Amino acid sequence: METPPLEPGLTFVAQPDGRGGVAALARHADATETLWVDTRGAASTYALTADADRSVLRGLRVARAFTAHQHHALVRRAVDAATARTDLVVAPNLAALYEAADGPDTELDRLYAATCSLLAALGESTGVPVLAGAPDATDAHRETLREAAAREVTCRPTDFGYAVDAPGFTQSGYWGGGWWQTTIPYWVAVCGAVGTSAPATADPVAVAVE
Amino acid sequence: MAFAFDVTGDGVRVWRRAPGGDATVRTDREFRPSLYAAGPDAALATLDERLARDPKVEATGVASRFTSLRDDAPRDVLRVDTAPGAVRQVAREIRCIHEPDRWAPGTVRLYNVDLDPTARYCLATGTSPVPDADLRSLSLSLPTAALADGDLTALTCEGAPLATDLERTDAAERRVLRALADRLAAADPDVLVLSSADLVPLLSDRADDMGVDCSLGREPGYRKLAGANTYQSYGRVGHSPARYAVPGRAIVDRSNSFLWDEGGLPGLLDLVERSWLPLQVLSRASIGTVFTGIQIREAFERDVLVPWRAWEPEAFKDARTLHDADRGGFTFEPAVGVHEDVVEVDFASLYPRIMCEYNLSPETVRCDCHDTDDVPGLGYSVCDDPGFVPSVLQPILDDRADLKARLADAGPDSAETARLEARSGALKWILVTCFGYQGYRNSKFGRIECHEAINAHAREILLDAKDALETGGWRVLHGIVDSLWVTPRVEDPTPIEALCERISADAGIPLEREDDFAWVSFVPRQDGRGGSLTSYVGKVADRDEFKIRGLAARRRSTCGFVAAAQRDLLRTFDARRDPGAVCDRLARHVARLEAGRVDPADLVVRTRISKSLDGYDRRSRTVAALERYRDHGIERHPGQDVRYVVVDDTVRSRERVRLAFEAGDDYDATFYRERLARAAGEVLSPLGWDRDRVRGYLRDTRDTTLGAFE
Amino acid sequence: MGRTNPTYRDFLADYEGRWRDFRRALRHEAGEDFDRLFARARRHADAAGYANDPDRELLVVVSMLLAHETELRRLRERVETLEAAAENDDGA
Ligand SMILES: [Zn+2]
Repeated sequence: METPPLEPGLTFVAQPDGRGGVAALARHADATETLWVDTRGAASTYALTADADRSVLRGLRVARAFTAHQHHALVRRAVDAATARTDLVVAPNLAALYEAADGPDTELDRLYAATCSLLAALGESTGVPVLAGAPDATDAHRETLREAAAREVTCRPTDFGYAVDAPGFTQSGYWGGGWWQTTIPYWVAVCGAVGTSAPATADPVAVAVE
Repeated sequence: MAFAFDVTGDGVRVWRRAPGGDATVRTDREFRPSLYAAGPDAALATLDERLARDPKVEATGVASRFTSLRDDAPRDVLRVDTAPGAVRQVAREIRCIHEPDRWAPGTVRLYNVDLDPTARYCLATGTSPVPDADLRSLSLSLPTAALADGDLTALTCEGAPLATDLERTDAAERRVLRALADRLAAADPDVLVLSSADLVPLLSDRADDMGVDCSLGREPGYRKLAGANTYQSYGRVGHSPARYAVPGRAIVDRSNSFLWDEGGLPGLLDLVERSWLPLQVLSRASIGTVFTGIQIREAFERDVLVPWRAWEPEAFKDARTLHDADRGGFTFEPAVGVHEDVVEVDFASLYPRIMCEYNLSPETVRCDCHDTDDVPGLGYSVCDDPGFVPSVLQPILDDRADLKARLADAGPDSAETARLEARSGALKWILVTCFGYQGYRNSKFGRIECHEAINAHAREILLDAKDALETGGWRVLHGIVDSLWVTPRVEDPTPIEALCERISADAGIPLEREDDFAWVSFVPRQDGRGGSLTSYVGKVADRDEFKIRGLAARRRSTCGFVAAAQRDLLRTFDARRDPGAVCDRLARHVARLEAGRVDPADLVVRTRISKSLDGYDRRSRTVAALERYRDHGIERHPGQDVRYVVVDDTVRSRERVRLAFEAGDDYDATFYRERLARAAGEVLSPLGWDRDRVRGYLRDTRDTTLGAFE
Repeated sequence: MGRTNPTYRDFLADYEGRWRDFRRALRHEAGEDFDRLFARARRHADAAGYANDPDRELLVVVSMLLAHETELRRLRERVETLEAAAENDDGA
């Protein structure tokens, strides 16, 4: 999968067609050390090693929250847990635990908003990219995250892997099962637009990499 | 000593009775429940100032307490004494009004907020809720349908009807209420054991209407403590019916007391003593609540505060460590089929014993002061300091072992035996629960890493045991978490006792020879994909007894006819060891069913519902049953059972079923034949006989054996 | 508070499902052989679950190979028995 370069600060990862987008982006971010604030099993080892690439697990530090209060405490703790080597912070399913009734709505909504601001502050003050997603969240919760975030990228699953849509970024291929599935922009970039003299190549449906 | 408590707006009323004496009541108007707040000094000082203006807060002060099991030393916290019954309200206001004004969420942490008010009173004032030995109880029952109709004529007391009238009339009901008043006056019970707590408003209100002087309590009146509601716990939907209190008597609602079913009054009282949850609270508590209660009592003794919300998260850890830790207990693939000469060996109370033997507790696992590698495969450290949970569990383990030893001495069928068994049964459930509780997200004193460490030890213990057994000449046929089924692999294996002794010594946990089986059958899964991990049946050697797990005969939804037929097929197999003989027997059951000769009472299917009627969108049997209940004015709630006979499974209307208490004797033989065939499959499939083969056999032999079952 | 990772046994069922199209196109005998292949992989699901390698497809393949090895041993033993019996017959 081709991913846009990760920028410092909080990025809201919109996942209009389901989960997994945050994990996919993190998987391909090639970070030295990632702090992963987990909920609801998003840190399943198998989601992270979807391409059977176990090196992804190297440098990945995970802590799981099972209640909203634990989640907030974990985000707070991530600030202390971050080392000089930490170059990515990930928080998938951000709103999930705040929507399970462990306390009154007002208390949890405030806690959730504070979690979003903390993540934004963490990204801003350390210059580390922070990826957060809120699939299955209520519109209000997604909006709170969007407002706290410095930018937004959209990530959707396709038959050929995840497609990423970010400001100023056009994807030229889908990573899927160890193959590049090419898209038109890629071939335009390689061969020029249709109508210009294209070099004779084998049927360019899929080119193996590795 | 005290046995019943009533927390009211102006104090706590404590009911006591000395042996042989009359009950007395005293109202404690001085008691003020306290919650605690921890946080930075400045925040606590400000909070103190603001709370001083709150009329619900009567006093504040500084106290020295541990805010977590992991704390090395106590620290200064703010104690907030509130008006009776105002603790939660004050806590909510701190969280939602005072804190947002000034500080980030979680700056101030609150403790001792959501405790049961009566248990809090006992713990804070040192008032023991353990009743004296001569506690007097009286039981009252009314069948479900009569309860829904408000028909008192069917009321029974200690199992005997209170009135002999068959006809329901005002006069008859009045006689029932008068008889009840007489019984209450004569027995003067401390505990009322009711078939349903709804009897409280029904009996009281009707007595009022009819002008009969009959109050269930030692003073007139009753209070509704909580309305009925539906809840989710451990992923399962449950229903908790409305709760009531009457003055001077503890109420046990049998329809809402898991512990009553398991341990009766002796079991309940044993747990009252351990948890200091008063009988009226404990009887309706879940096992998890009781275990929490026992821990809270220990926490009070240690000056450890009880957190309101589960704030403490796990620490960040390497993803590979997480991957290694994230495994459950070990389960062998069962060797599908029938095996002769099998021994089952069990690690008794494996999980709690692991916690005690290896000192596993939320505060000892991955402690801050050690950097050792103490948990196999995970590299977690475990502290040397005595752990909190082991100190709670060890007495329970010891007492249960003691109860078992006394049971072995006590004569069979004596009253003493029943009492010991009840207590042992209740304790067993606590021991079963303590492990899952460590992984439960809202545990007051739980931690996921402790859960993982227990699992890690359990896996190694089971695999070490497998090694030792194999070396000793045995073959492992199946094993689940704490049990192994083995059969000799060589002519003359090392005696199982000697191996058990060696394995016990190595693991530090006793491995016991549970049962010898003449044969054990491990059942394949319905879809044919390997063995079902938890379905098996064994014929105990030298005893007329089967041990059945996961089969139709054991499932609570199975009707009596199918369960009995399956047991009969098992006995046939045991006697003849011949699938054909089992099929012949099956044919007889089918013939009886199809001839309409089965008593419909034996065809009642029981299903626990997960939604209320309006929540279902499929036209299932359950929906048909729920509609019929509603026709009778009975509302069934998620977590409750529906009981019905299938009358015509081809229709989707409410005519599909008949409720267990409705009159009628027809049934849908085709439906029950299918159930019977499935139950027979569980007996025959381990022998390699699938349905086609059974059908083929029956076709071929039907002519010759027809006489046998007609 | 369930576990983060799905169990290996769940994975194996799911993985077999992913071969549905392959299975569908097989002729009768091969289809039964295919089912046996996965039945034998399941027989070692306990060990594979314990081994817990992140590459679970590899665990499936090794489980199948192991079952293969077991079958080879059985057949070898059978051949030896039959050979011994045949030699005895010759000698008699
Ligand atoms: Zn230590």
